[in-house]
Amino acid sequence: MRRFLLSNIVPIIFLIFSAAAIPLSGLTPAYLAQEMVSRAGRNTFLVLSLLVPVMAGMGLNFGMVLGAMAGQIGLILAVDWGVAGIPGLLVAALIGTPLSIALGFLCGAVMNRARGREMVTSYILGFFVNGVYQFVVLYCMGSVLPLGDPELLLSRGYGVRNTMALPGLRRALDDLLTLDLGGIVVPVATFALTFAFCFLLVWFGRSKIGQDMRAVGKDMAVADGAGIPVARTRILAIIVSTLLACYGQIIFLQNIGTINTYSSHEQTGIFAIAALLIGGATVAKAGIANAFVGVLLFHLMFVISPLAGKNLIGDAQLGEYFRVFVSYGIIAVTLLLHAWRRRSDAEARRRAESDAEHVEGGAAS
Amino acid sequence: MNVRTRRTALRAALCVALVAFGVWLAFIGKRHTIIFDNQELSRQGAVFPAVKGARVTVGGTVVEVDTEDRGATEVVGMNHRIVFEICDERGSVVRKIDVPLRLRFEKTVILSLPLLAKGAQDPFLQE
Repeated sequence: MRRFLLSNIVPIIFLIFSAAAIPLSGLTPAYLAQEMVSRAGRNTFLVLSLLVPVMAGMGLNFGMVLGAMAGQIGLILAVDWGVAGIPGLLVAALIGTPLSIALGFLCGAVMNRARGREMVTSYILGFFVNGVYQFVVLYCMGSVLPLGDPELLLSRGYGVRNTMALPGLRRALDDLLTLDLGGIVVPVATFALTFAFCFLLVWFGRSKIGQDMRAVGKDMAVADGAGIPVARTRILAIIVSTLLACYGQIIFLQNIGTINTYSSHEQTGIFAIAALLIGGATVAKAGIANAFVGVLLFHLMFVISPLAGKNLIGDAQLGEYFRVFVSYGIIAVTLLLHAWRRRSDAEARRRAESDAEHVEGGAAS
Repeated sequence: MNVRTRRTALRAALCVALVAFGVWLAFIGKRHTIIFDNQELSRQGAVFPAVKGARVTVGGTVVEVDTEDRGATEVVGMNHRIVFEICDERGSVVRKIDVPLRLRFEKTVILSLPLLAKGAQDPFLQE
């Protein structure tokens, strides 16, 4: 019981906060349930895409934002070509796939040169590729890369508009198959896709490549000694994560219905990582349950904090500040704990090695 | 054929198949706007007057177009069937014309109802 509480302290704290804040927010259970179902549907895929790099010992993939950008480029082109519905989403995914693979390869290769500092490397790489993305979307599209629909372009004639609607793509997946449960509309197709992805993840974890990734995540030197191509496996983990983030971003944006061309992707990584950590995951260990629990708790805070703050303190903004402080503070604390644990593990190993040397020296004399 | 060559050929074939799949998706999912033009026009010396009581059904959507006006609807995909009905003042269908429509790259198609009512071979207009 004590171990369970300690290992799940973060979701428990969030649960207590939420339980206290829900009555203060004044929101009805039906509204909250509908919001949670909708948010879980659109965000869970993105959070699940983080699990593969954690399996491979590469920590939290802040570089998933690269996949999000690839997905957005796919959606921009799908809208420009006027493709609607599920075919439109599939076209966006097909366009985003090679881009995600290329960006994932780049991210993985860079991370391999920064072993031990993967998270901050991927974070900064995300900023760099964001610059490239903005150059492509703000300057190249409409000029060097012609777009057929002038309504997508800025008034100067090139560059995509700041906000783009997704005509024909809005809720294309969500509305494909819905279920009304007592007034709560559940996007069955979206959840079916997410659950199928969960099964795929379980299968992947048990496959040879999944086992290789676990071995690499446990100990790179031992994995290398066992003949596992460590560098290639790590790159593959990042490629898979980036690709899944691309598809996750497409699912996210089809639910929202609009793209904020220059900012939709920016918060993707931070929100997904915050959700995963809030679900009880750590930098070294994360599971499917952490993803689902984390999405629910994180987005519950999202919905109730402003209203709870407004009703309690009289200022909705304070409630929002509180949510931001707690949510991102969790990331900071988790990363600190991870660094502290790594250092103490390294010290314990050093102590054990020096003790072993003393014993051998004593035995020899 | 050695393993490497076969692997490369399979991967190339897979890429080609994916591109072909994407092109097929773009065709079956493409949105088209069909504009129904009910304005009087002249073509090759003949005058085609606007049609009173024009009602068009395509893809389950019914569009009623007044004389000297236009109506529009959006459809998705390549193959459609346009049902053009001419109604009297009471709303009863006096005449019904079935027009198959095959679309490809066009974003917008303008169909002239007066031309259609007179049985013209090519009832489409260019903007």
